[in-house]
Order: sequence, then structure tokens, then C-alpha cells
Amino acid sequence: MKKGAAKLADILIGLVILLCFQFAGQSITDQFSLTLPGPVIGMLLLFVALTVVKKAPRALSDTSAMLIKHLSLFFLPAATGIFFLGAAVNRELPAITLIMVVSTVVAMMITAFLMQWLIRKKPIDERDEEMAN
Amino acid sequence: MISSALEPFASAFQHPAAMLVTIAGYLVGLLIYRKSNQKSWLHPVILGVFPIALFLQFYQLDYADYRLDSFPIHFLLGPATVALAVPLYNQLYLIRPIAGAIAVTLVVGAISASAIGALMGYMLDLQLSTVLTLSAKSVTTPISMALADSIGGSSILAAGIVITTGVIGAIFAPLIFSLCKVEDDRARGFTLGLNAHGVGTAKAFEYGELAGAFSSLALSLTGTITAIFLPIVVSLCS
Repeated sequence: MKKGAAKLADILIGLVILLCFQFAGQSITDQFSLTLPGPVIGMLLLFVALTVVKKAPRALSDTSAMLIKHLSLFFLPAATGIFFLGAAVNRELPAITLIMVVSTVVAMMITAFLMQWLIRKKPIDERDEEMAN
Repeated sequence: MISSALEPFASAFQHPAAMLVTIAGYLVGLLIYRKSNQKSWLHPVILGVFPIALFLQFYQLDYADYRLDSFPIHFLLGPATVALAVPLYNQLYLIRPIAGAIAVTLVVGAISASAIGALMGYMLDLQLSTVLTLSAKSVTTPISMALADSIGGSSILAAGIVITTGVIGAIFAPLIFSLCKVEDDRARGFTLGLNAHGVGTAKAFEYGELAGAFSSLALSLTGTITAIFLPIVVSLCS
């Protein structure tokens, strides 16, 4: 019982840290009326903060890992909207669907090919050197 | 005054069903997905929308009301997006040595992701607002909705197109990677994040933290440069 309660407290601490950065990001977005959403700015701010403190607190890593693991869940309410797009779009729906499939697949092939070709001589084994340092 | 400000809360208590059907739908989707050995067309995002849509249909509920009642779930997308900074930081030492390759792929990839769809829409003679909305299809939902509004697209259509694009990316990724022999998790992750934003990033984390970090990186970079340059390109073209 106590163990479970302590764990929830850890999760909440992590959540509070994330919300602080989201809040900061949202404030910046509102202040300068940017097109970038607050959470994306918050993510950049947290990234900068981590490069300064060098290590993420455990509560933050745990909560982050948990949220990321179930990222799909948070898209469900918005994703259900595809069934409710409305009459104006329905006429164009076959064309839009075709375009989405073809253009996404083609752009993904271009991206994947290019990236893999550019890094072909830079294997991941730099990890070992870094670990040794 | 106060009562109208409290109305959203009242309605959240009226329909716990929205939360119930969303979480339960997700869990059932997740279970089937795992049992199926993670077949990409059985992704929880795809499986989860059917019970929700059927539920709304069955009880004759408005989608707008459902969005209001299920808002706590949508809200968690915010902290979850911020959380992507953690794996990104953990993998920074692998990102730095290939910064040049990342920059080149980002520019070429973001242009392809935006332009191919818009050009196809133009050639198929779709209405201008649909073409403009298609140009923002590969960036994360909140950015693309704001972008669609500012360049003359439709933000409601944008939400649908973006999510569907993400799902398509997640479905086709394993096929594309095996067809093009892309075995490097850095390239896999970057491709998913660039073209399929958050939904692709959820998929990328299934390949491991390395792919997930590169996907998060691509998601934020693509969102940023598209948000900056797309309005400029559109205003030059019109």
C-alpha cells in the first residue's frame, strides 16, 4: 500500500516538472504569438535544462517513459474525428485518402533512403567510445 | 457568469462514458495489438477509434461533446510532448556526430512531406483550402491546425488529415523499411518523426529508445521549420 502510494507521488512529481516546462512554453508562445505550440517550446526548454543539469531526475525519467509508452492513447480523442469530418470534405475524401497514402509513402521513402545513405559511414558504435570516456 | 464558467465541469461529470470508452478502447486495442505480435495495421490508434465511434453512434452523441468530456486524455498530449525531451537528451551523443546528415535530411524530407501532397491535390483539382491543408499534413496536430488557419486551410480538416497521415506512416513504416532495406534505427526513427509526427513517434519507440529519440528530434525540427517557412512559401506562391 505504502509502496504504491510512494510510486504515485513520484509520478506526480515528474508530471509537475513536465507541466512547469509546458507552462513556460505556453507563456512564451502566448507572449510572442508564435505558431509553435506551447508543449513543443516546453520540450525544447526541458532539453536545454537537461543539457545544463546533465542528468534527468528519476521521477522525471519515470513519468516521461510512462507517458511516452502510452502516447497512442492521448491521440485517440482527436483520431476519432476522422469519422466526423463533415459534408464539405466528404466529396473530396477519396482523392484526399489517395493523396495521403501515396504522398506519405513516397516522402517516407525519400527521407529513409537519404538519411540511411548520409549516415552509412557513421555507425552507431561511437556509443562505446562515449561510454568509455 | 460563474455557472457558465463551470459548465464544462458539469458536463464532464455527466458523461464519464467518454473517458471510459476511450481508455477501455485503448486497452482493448493494446491487447489485440500485442496478441497480434504488433502487426502495424492493428495499431491501438486504429483499433481504438472504432469502439469510440460506434459508442458515439449508438448513443447519438455529438463528437464535439465527446471531445469536451474526454479532454483530460487529450490534455496529457501536452506533458507527453514535453517528455520527449528526456530520450532526446539521453541520445544526444548519438545525434551530435551526424548533425550534418540530420540537417540535410530535415530540409529535403520536410519539403517532400509538404510539397508532394499539396502538388497531388493541385493536380487532382481539389479546392484551394484542401490543397493548403494537405501541405501541413506531416507536422504535429496543434502546429498544423494553427498553420492551416494562418495559410487559408481548414483546421478541422487539418486535425483529421494529420492524424490519418500519422496512422498511414505507422502502418506502412515496416513495409517501407524492409522494402528499402533501411535497417538503421536512426534513419527509421527520423523518417517516422518527420513524416508521421506523434503517431509515428509512438511507433518509433517500439523499435527502441534510439529510434524514438530520432523520431522526437524529427518531430520537433519538422514542426519548427514548417511553422516558420510554410506561411512564407504560401504567401510567395499566391
